[in-house]
Amino acid sequence: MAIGELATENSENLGTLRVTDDVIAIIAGLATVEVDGVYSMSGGLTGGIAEVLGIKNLSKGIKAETKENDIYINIYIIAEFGARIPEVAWNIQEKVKKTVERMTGMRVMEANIHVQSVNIPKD
Amino acid sequence: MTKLRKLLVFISVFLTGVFSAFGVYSALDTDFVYKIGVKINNASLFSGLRLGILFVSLFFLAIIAVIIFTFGKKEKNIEAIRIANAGGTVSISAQTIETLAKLEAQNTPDIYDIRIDVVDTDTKPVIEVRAKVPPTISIPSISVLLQENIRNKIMEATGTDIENIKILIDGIVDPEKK
Repeated sequence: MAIGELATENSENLGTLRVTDDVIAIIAGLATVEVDGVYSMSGGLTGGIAEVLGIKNLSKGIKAETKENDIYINIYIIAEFGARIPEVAWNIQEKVKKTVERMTGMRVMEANIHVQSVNIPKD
Repeated sequence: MTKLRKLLVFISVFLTGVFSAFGVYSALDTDFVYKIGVKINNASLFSGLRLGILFVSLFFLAIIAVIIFTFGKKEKNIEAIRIANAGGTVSISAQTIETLAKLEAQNTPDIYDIRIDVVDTDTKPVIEVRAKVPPTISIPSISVLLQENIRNKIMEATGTDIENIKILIDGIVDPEKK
């Protein structure tokens, strides 16, 4: 598990702050599902099995990677039918970037959105 | 899915290796195979040996079924459209395009039994639509309408212009029966 490490910017050197990729993924995941036009996260086979088993995976559909103090995030979603995908993607990128940067103090260099499918309403 | 595929490839190679080794050994020492055959033949119906063989055979069959299911399944999550923006990239899967196109095709009158594929995803996505129509309509007119509807829908949803939508009418249906 990669761990992003950020030196604290206090005048006194109190130590360092470390944030795991899993934590970043959870923050990004929670931010993503709040965006209009996102039906759900797309977690692939393992995510699906975990869901069937009743395991709640807050980082489902998110792959976060930290390189020095920079964060690269890949977000896998299922879009709502009728949503304008480029707009939804931009909103996710903005929201994830803002939320992750605010909570971790690290820079989000890329938030790549992967639209895996669209949800068809049953009616 | 990639990890699962790798695991299945590994299991396939391993099983092939085991069977090959058994085959080579059997060829070199035919007595070995004969003795195993005699043992199985002499074992009672519900003996541990027979049940063991049954269990191992079912296990191998299950693995083969999983391999066929996984490899035989068409990969739908391939990227069809990629858009770069200031925040990174947005990629849209072929499955997304197919779903959007299929829904639009279903809303087009006089189009039945619709099957859609997204191909040539390395360059620009090309949509192939196969469908059946009733015997009374003009196929060129309905095809143009279908192409326009799909193109507009995908433009609206993804902001990408699909330049090539191939239509193949491969059957005639009776709409009353449908």
